Amino acid sequence: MSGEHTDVGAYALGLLEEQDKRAFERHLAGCPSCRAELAELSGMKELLSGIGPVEAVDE
Amino acid sequence: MDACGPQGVTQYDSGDQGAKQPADGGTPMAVFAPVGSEACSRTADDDVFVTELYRHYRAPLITYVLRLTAGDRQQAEDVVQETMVRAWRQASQLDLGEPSLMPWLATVARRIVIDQRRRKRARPAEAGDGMLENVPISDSTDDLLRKVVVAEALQVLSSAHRQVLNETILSDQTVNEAARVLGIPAGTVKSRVYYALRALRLVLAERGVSV
Repeated sequence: MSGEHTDVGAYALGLLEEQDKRAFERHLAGCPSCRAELAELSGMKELLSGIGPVEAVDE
Repeated sequence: MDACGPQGVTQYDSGDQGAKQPADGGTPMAVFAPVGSEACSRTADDDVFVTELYRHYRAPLITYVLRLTAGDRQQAEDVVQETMVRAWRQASQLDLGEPSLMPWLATVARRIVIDQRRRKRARPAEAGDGMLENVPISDSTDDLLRKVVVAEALQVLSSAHRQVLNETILSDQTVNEAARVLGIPAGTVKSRVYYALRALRLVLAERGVSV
């Protein structure tokens, strides 16, 4: 179900609190597509580090 | 070979501070107008190139250069302008359709800052030199470039996507904390983070950054 699959983004960024994190890891164990996505998203946390909130540019 | 453009453009290297800033601070044409050479009028393509260059890259480039000039806004503006001039001179080799000219522009801007610093060193010390000496310029620039490129990519996300990243990863808040701040369910935050990351990856890929 999509609810759990899309948790992979927040998980990859380390944004889940303990209970959610454990729940997603249980899901991950049985979900190859989430494992593949997690691998794809693994660089995002570092990529987004140290940037801080970004304001929209007025066009 | 067009001998007109660069000469016209470099007029303001002569130290006339007043000529360096367009009145409204953002219109490139006033700066790029060739001086006193009607025979060498710009082409429409030049205008488009310069306008697009400023529109897309002025803001991120200023952000980048400000870090190299220790926050000196005037110097940063000058460096950005000189960078744009050099880009314009090499317009035939640059392609605005490229995913991002940012790495090229950042490299040129960094060189200009280094050159300026060398020139300052070669002259007798003047106030402010000490500050320049302390600006890190090599090790941290790749990281800085990463931040500028990513911040630029974040700008083009939808506001909902940008907002959810702002309230989570970009301000060190968990999903639950962001949900409270935004007043939306945690599940919505999680799925939005997911789609925001996918969108960000696409934007970065379009700009030649693989993640």
